[in-house]
Amino acid sequence: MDSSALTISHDYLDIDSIIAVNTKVTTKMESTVCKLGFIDPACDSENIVKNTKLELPIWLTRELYNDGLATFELPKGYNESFRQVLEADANVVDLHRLGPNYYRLGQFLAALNLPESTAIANCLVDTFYQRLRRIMDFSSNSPTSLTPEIGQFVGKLDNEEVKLFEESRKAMEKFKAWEDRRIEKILSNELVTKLRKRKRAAMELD
Amino acid sequence: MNFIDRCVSLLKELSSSKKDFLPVYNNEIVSECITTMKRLFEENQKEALDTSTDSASSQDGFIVVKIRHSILLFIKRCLIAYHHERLNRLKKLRWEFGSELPTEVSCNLTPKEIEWFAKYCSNLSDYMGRLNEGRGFDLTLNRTAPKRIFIQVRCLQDHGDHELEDGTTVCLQKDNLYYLPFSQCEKLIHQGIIEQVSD
Repeated sequence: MDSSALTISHDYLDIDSIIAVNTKVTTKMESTVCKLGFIDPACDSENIVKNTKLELPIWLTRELYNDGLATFELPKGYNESFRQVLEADANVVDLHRLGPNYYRLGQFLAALNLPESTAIANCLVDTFYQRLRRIMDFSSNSPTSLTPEIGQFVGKLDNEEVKLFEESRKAMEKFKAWEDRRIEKILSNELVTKLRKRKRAAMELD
Repeated sequence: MNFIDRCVSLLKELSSSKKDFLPVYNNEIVSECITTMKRLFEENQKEALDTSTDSASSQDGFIVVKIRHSILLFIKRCLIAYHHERLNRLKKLRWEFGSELPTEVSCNLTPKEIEWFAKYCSNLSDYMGRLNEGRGFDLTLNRTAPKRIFIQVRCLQDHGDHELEDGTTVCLQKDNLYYLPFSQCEKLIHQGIIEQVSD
C-alpha cells in the first residue's frame, strides 16, 4: 500500500468530524514566523511575531503545535474544571451547546499528545458511560409521538448521542410492530411519505 | 481565514438539511473553493522556486509552505466530503423512489449528478437483471414475507392505467378501492401511489 494512503483517517469524509475540527481555539505563537501574516485576516503585517494571540481552527493550530511554534488553550468543556463537572454528574451537562460534536472534538484532542490527552480520553469514556443509561431509558420507553420532556432531553445530546437515540427508538418501534403483528402491512417508503407531507404543507400555505 | 469558514459552511448547509432531501448544489462556494486552492498552490510554487532568500528565512519559508499546503488539503477534504455526501443521499433516493426522481429532487441536481444517477440506475438494473440465474430479481421488493396473494388497497392519487402481469389493465383513480395481486402492487405502495387497507 502507498504510505500516503495510511495518513488518511477513517473519518476523512465525515461531515461532523470536519465541523468539529474546525472549532476555533485561542492560539499563542511561541516564536516569530516571517510571511505567515496571511493566516490572520486582522493582521496587517507580513510576519507573525512571538506572543501574538490568534483565533485559529484547531486542525491548523495542530500543524503549528506539532512544530513547537505555538501553544493553545483547550476549548471550553475540555479543561480541568469542566472535566470535574462531567465526572461529578455528566447527565446535567448540555453537550449539544458545548459541541454539538463534543466526542468528535474530544477524540481529536486526545490524539494530539497533549499533557492532558489521557485525562481527556478518560473523561470522554466516563461521560459517555454515565449518559448512556439515560439515553437507553428514554429511547426505549418513549411514546411514538415526541413529548416536550423528550424533546428537551434530546436537545441536550451530542450529535453522536442523537444518532444512538434515534436508532434505539427505531429498533423499539420495530419490536412493538412485531409484537402487534403490524409487520404484515406494507408501508410506503420513508422519504416518499416525507415528500408528500411537505407538499401538503406547502399547499396549505398557498 | 474567512475562506475556510466559507468552505465549512458548505458542509453545515448539508448537515442542517439532514432530514430533508438534497439541497440546491452550491456552485458559488464550490467554485470559490477551487479558486482559493489554485491561488494557494501558485503561491506555494512561487515560494518554493524562490532561491534568493537566505537560510534563516528559508526555514520560515518552509513553515509557510507547509501551512499553506495543509489549508489546501483541508479545503480539498471539505469538497470531497460535500460531493461524497450528496452522492450517498442520491443513492439512497434511488432505493426509495425508483429510477424516476420527483421534480422536487431532480431540480436541485447538477448535470454531472444527473449523469451519475443515470449510470447508477443502469448499473443497478444490470445487476438485478443478472440475479436469479439470469431471470432477474427486483431487490427493492419482497422486503416482508407475503401472507396472502391478493390484498385490498386504496388509491391515493390519480395514477392512470396500470398494466398487470396477466395483461389486464386497471385504471387507478384517487380514493377508489382495489383488490390486487400482492406481487404487483408492492412497488406502488412503496412509491406512495396506493396504500394497503388493513382488514
